Amino acid sequence: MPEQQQVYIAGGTTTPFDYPVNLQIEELVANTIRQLYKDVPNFHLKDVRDNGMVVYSHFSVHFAHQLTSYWILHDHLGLVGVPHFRIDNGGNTGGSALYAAYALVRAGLADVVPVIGYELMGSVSQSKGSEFIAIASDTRYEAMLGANYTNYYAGLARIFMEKYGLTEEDFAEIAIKNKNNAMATGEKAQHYRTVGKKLTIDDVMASRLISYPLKKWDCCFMSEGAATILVCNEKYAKQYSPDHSIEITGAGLSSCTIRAGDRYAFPGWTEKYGEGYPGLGEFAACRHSAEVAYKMAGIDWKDSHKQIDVAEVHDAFSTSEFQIYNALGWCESTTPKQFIRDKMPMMEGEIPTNPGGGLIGYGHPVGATGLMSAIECYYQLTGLIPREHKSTDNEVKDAEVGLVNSHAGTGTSISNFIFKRV
Amino acid sequence: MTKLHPTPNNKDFDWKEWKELSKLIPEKGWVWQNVRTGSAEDGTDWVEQQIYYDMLYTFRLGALSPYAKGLLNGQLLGTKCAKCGDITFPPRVNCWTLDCKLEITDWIEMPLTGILHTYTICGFAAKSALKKLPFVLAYVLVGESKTAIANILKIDEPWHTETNMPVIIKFANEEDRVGNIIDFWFEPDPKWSPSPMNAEKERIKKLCEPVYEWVRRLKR
Ligand SMILES: [Zn+2]
Repeated sequence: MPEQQQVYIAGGTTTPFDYPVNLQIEELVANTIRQLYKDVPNFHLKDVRDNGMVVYSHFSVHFAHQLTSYWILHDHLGLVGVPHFRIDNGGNTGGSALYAAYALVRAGLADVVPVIGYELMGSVSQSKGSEFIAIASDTRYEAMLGANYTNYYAGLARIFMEKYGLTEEDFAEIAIKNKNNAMATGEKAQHYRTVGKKLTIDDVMASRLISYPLKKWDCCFMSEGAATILVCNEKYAKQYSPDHSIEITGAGLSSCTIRAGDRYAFPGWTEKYGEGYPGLGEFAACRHSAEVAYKMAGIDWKDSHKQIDVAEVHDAFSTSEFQIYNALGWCESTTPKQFIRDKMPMMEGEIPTNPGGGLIGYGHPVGATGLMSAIECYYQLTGLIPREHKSTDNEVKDAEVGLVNSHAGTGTSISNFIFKRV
Repeated sequence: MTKLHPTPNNKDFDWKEWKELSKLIPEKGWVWQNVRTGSAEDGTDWVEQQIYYDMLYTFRLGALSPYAKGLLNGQLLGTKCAKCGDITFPPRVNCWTLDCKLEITDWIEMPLTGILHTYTICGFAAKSALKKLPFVLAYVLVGESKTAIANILKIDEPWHTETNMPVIIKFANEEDRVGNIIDFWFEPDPKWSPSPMNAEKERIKKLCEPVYEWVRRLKR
């Protein structure tokens, strides 16, 4: 019988995120594995063949003009006979694939599980791309309205803004934090590659209205790229990266309604959290999955912001990053308004969030996104920022505990992980 | 006996009519369009090929059909669970309360009034809706529904939209209805009047100005 094992990450690498990139999926992914061979010299795909599985993280067959595109990848990597499957869970595809790998190693069913994420979204026009993504909303009720995810998120942000007395400027703080952090990340980050300069609150406020309260610079842009993260048991972590491994000490995955309007008074949430929660302004699946991950890692909900040193979260929009702070319990001992005005998530704050740039700064090729977040957090906890980033301006020195968040739909599926330096 | 959603017998399915309907937009499948080649600055070759692919979907509404038929008749049909009493619009054909064990719900007619829960003023949207910009997307609690439904709020000055404002439901003319969400929209309750202009409303108005201008150019 397989025995339960502790779960580690022993390496990870990301391709540059940009739009469009003129590459096929197999070369993108091969680049991540070849880079992994360089970064983790003791790693070998033969270990995966003998004692592992591969989890592929890919969102949309519409973008791929191909069903089961990971079948192309798997034999391109020289793998036959090795178990493989693909996870799709909307924007939380990367987080969910990491969760699957975690579960496989934890259960003792596999010892080495590379999680390979990728998304090429430039195969169609940008407007068609937004429409493809909106197919993840309930097409019977929502698609024909002509709205897309930005519009839905903006609606959720509006009530959140009103509930906590927040301003557009409060959100803009988050947007420029992430854009500007990406400038230190360097050439892999989309903002660095395409804009290449720091932005100000005024830039955000003056940018085009997308959907109130969101303007152009409050939003992540469509991107393409791939990422591979190496999940394994203790034996392989010691063999591969004795000095650069982290342990996954907490993992939570939760769900909420596909249509945001249906979480106004959902019986499941009312039973758990009482009347009126989450409503349309809060991410209950984020709170719930965080509670699970915190409990596993021995982190106290109310003091969570003091026990976590660095976080990489799913900032598809500046507003949703703010809603995530609240759902993670970080505003419990203060107020959301004070939390941002005290600069808590900034590099100089108590819990630097998205130092790598997040989706707004680094990019959002859906299947690779959650893995990029996990890899950035892994670099922070293993002292690899000087090797990986253009500058150390976004290094969180001596970070011991990190949080990784991945987020889908209008908050429909959310995962949270706690990483610990070993 | 356990009540299940019925599975209609397929023997009467009109294949001929379906084939006719499929001609509404002739499907082309994979159609070769174009090839472009070049070299990047560093000498890397690139080749791009444009290939067209399309499909005509048939949405079969099954147990939701009464909802769609209701729209065609100018009615909003929601559902009510006989066990727990929960009312939802959009409808849920099985109850969402776990203790009701997926009880099959009953159809009820919803009033054509609601309360706006939250909203956004869209300055950008999907291709099909660009010429309607800027428009308001609103989440409204219709009647006693425990769920909100998203749809368009038609309001002359979008910046006057307010949370908790009362709205009414308006239907398209009978001949224009199609049994889809686009058959109806929200309008402010005629008895409601907006609060005076304030700093936020002025700001939204200013954000909308270039959107109006952009749409004017788009329509030209
Ligand atoms: Zn019930």
